[in-house]
Amino acid sequence: MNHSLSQVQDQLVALLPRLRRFARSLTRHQADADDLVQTALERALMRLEQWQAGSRLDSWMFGIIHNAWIDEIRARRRRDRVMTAQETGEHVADAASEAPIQRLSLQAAFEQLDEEQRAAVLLVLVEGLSYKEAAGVLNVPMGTLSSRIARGRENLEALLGGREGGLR
Amino acid sequence: MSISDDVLMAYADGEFDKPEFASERSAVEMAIAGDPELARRVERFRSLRGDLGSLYAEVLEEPVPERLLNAARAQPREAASVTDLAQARSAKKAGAGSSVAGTTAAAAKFRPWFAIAASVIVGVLVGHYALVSPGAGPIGVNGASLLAQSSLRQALGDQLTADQSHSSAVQIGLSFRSKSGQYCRTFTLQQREPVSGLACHQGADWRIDALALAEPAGNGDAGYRPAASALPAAVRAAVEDQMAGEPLDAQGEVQAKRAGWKQ
Repeated sequence: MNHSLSQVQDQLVALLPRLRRFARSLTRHQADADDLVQTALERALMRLEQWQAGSRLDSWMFGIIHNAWIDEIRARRRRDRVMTAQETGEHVADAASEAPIQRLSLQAAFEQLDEEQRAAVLLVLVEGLSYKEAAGVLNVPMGTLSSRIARGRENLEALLGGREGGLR
Repeated sequence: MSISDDVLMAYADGEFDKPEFASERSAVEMAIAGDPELARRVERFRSLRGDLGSLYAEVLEEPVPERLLNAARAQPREAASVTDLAQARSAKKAGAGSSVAGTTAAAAKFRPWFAIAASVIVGVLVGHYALVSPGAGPIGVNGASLLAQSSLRQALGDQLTADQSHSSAVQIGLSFRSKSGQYCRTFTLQQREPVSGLACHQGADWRIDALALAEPAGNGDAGYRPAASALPAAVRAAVEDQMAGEPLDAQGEVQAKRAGWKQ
């Protein structure tokens, strides 16, 4: 590895605000989000050799956070199948069909999106990753990624109300 | 010229900004120039993107909690050498260390088997558990691979999580398809010092891809529960690396078993 451990750790510290935001967008809960980031940091440091120096550290960390979140959802599902649906929002929020009359704040609207759309929208529209990078983070094909973005956008616009069109 | 929303979105998201997409980019731009409706749609996509920039802005601005700064600065938990492993084990037996130190020591003991020479893991496990043996033990060696045999092999092939008894010597945890399409299952050998691992079906065998001392749930010997959340980190990491999609549900297990765990 070309980077010393402390250099990589400096970069990790600098990334923390963005990692916390990504985790927050997945969990929609601040303490859960920070637990998730902590788990991801531990995993990352345990297998730092898998990160290829020169590749994006942020994308690599987003991927680890996302995987840790999937693990967490599965663990919750096993712990309590009843609670899971409520806690993790695993119901596919068919936002368009449930669109409330009143205007939601952007964050409230975003949190109504389903898991997959939240992750894709956050990475591309908020973090500015390319479709290809985001597809790599989420380990899905490009086509899947772009359709999640498209559906996420449509649902957001519908939830935010007032914006015309965009529904499919 | 008609341009789909998907293409307009990709354009608005900067997907065509790279030189290799110059022709797509100029095609979209020409179309937009000649069609105010298209221009309006692109503007809508961009405006949502701009609005989203402020999403969770407060998370970016608030101070990062100390525990995360510490986690980012922590020394990585290096894979343990055989000597370390012995030390960690005796330290554990002596009851040394606070819970935090205990956690680190525990993590240091676990390490994916493929990270060490098969001979080492054989040595360690033979020495401590008489686990790996050419004959009747649950784990055998074939070249550089560890294979399930006897009771473990049988449980991996036959046991369904829906109806396994908590007293079975082998507990099966998750079953799933790996990214290469193989069926894989996590297991725990319930013994004095339980061992957990991940086995994937290959040919006629169950190849063991990860193996580590299990983390006992709760305190003392109050019974080991093979929940996957209690899987050792090394096994969890192997599961995470290999799993494609969701774990099998009860019905999925039945079907996979009926198909002989063949791809």
